[in-house]
Amino acid sequence: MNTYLAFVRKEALHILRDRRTLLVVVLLPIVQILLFGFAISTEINDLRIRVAATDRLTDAGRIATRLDASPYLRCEALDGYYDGKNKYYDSFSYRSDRKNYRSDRIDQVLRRGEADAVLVVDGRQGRMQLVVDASNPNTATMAASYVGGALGGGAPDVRMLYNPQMLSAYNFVPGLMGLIFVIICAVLTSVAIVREKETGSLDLLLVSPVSPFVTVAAKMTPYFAVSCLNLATILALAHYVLGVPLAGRAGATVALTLLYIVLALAVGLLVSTLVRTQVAAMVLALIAMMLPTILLSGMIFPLENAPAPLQWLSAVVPARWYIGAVRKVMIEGLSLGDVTVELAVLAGMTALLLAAALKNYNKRTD
Amino acid sequence: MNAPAIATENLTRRFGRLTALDGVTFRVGRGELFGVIGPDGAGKTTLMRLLATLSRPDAGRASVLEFDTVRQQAEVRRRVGYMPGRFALYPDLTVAENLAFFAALYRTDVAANYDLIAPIYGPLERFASRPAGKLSGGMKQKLALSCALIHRPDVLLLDEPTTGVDPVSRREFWTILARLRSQGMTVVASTPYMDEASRCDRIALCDAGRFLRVDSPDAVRRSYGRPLFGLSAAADRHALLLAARRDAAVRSCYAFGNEHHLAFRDRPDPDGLRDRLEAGGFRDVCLRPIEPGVEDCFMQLTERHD
Amino acid sequence: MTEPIIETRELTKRFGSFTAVDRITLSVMPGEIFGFLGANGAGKTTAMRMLCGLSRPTAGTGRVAGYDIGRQPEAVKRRIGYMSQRFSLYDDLTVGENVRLFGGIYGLGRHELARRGDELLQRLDLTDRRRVRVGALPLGLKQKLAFSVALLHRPPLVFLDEPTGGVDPVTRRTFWEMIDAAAADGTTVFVTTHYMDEAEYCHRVSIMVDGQIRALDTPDRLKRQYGAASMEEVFLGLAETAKRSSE
Repeated sequence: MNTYLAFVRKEALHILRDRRTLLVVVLLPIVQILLFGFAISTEINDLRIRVAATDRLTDAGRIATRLDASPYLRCEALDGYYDGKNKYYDSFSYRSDRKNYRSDRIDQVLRRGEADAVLVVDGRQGRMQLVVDASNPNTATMAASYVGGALGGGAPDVRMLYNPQMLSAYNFVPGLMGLIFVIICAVLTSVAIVREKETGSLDLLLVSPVSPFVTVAAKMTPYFAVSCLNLATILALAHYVLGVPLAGRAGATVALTLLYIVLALAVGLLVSTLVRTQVAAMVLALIAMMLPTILLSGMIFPLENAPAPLQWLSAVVPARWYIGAVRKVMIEGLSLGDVTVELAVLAGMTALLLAAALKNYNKRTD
Repeated sequence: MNAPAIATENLTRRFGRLTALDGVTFRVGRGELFGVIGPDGAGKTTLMRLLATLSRPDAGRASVLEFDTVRQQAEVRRRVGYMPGRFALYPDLTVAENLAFFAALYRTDVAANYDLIAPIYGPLERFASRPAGKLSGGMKQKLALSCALIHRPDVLLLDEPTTGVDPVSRREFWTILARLRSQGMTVVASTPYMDEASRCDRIALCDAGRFLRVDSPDAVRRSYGRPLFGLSAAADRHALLLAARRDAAVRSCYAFGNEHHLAFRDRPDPDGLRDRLEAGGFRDVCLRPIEPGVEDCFMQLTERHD
Repeated sequence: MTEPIIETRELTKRFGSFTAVDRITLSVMPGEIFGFLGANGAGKTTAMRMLCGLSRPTAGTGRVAGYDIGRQPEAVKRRIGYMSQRFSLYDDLTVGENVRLFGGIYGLGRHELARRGDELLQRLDLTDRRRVRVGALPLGLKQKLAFSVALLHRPPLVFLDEPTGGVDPVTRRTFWEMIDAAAADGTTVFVTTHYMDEAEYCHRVSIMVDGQIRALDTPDRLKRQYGAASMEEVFLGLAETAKRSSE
């Protein structure tokens, strides 16, 4: 036990004395959460919507008011103006005898970038059509869903579950957690171990009577502790700053994340047994863990749209299971019992990785 | 005679196509100061790593204090102190933190073993709170040795502790090793410096993975087996060397500081050679009988090897 | 009278309050083999870096190969060869590639480079191994190749920083024979070593202690002056007077 504590203390000193690592470890989660939360949010505020009616009888003004009430939409008449008091002027209306005028005009407005979408309301047939500038598919999707959401029942029947306003924080917080723990655990741990290989101090540890299990456990403890601290920071920021509800399942989220942290540590250890230099460890850890986490976990790109082979491939990406499960638990408020498949997969992967890592580590260094 | 501290049998280690250690058999007695002497590529580091249980032999076996280095690793590790050739302590930890950590690795503490390391660690104490990476070369080496000794090992394995170190620090280091040996510790140290052989009880001369000879330094020197002469002349050392080598009676001639060491092919004929060299234009040619050194023996042995 | 190829006056380098090199004055003549000795931490490396134009003196002056080391370091660098034990050639390049690389760095023309390169490889008996990676050569041969490469652009002066560390005794001697031959051709050799027998091969030797040059003369005269049988004794006697613990 004494040996173990001396070991942990030494590792902690390494982290505390290396300003760069310390900075990464402490600031990375905070910066990432805030960056994603505010700066690179995938939500779009102030989408500009123009409204046009197909005839004089259609009350486009009422619909425009409803759209304008949404914090994400800014509404104006297609040709005319809005006096700010629910009063829309004649020019809203569109004369059917001038068909070309309509399509030309809509085209013009969208191409000049004066609006992101134009909503055409046909009161007589009770239909609405949203013409969206889809050159940026992301904005287009958002516009479509915002308008749909704002119109409620009166629009194309879209119902948003759990994230009715499509807040991206709900989406990216689990994703970021998946990423941050990979960086802190897998990358930093592997680099820390390989550094000892590079300097030769690992040899001194190996020739001592200390069992490799103690060495490994002690090496991981501070990173585990740091990760727990990060988890607390992330959850607090997500909840209090970004308003993610946590759905009353903080305990389950934490349990799930702890498992994921151990898994990431195991990856770090495995990587460290495979390479000789810190640079190689960094590259391998990034390629093996970070890229799949970003690309194949559903964190940014929805897996449902990916080609089948990529979907199969994603099954071996731990972050896919973790992020999926965290979404369910944290956002949807399901219990751990509802994510048993994910839990089982993650636990299985952890066991496998740890076994492989320890087996490799136990082999001698040359 | 009690059991040897170290015994190997046909110890062999290959790295791909390279045989780094090629069937080495030797013994080191308890309380001996044993030198493994040879140039880079002789297999010194490989041997040390095998004895320290950091590497497994491809053939043959080795035992330390009668514990097999493969099957009884744990027993060996408890009793061995190992100091690698490169500085391998933690540069970001302080001197005191490094020492305390290595003590903890062996489940002991600094205070309990202070008497053993005091002569080595003493001069370092005023730098106790300095990061180890900021010490000078000589200081680092003393700290590394202190860390290797902190658990009172029975056998100390030192891989090239004096390489790249100036003559003053080298001499000081060997004095420390001699003191440890006098306290009963078995010390095995490797070195590329042939002149350090005289510091050891016994030496192994090695080259290209093989042990050329294992014996006491004196016995090695005696094994040279033919009279050796020191050759010098008034000027142009280099030309003298080339001229001596061209002479049919000369078996070998090597530069050794300000004198060349020269051996004859058959019966020594220094007077004849002197006359021939002086006839060739060299002045004040001097040929005097000298005692062969370990380096002479090493060169003789590697010659035969080729 | 010929000009010295290295001439320093009161050359000094301070790092903060620490004086690494303390007013060294020396001159080295063309064709000389000059041994630059000193214990670890005595200031050898710092002094050598200044002479090579890699580090600016804090005070004092130095001229190397006719150029001021403080004001014209680039001109100095072009006129010297340099080889150290730690780094000399790229292990992952072949013998031929290393020769071409370093010849190119020093601005040799294509034909000149090809001619001198062939000559060099022939002299070292490496022509057949032109395509072998340098990392696969025995250390001694590698050091000999590095020395030849450092001389490829025919510099009047070459700096050797512990060129023979770890090299086997036979190769160490053939290495020194190469140094002798280069000096006989008029190249000045400025060399550091921890092998004291090698100090005896030098025409003149300086011994640094605590940043200062404490002794400078031929090995024979130094031995007589200190009543010592070998350069090792001279060195040990002087180095022991060091006050500065090598921190």
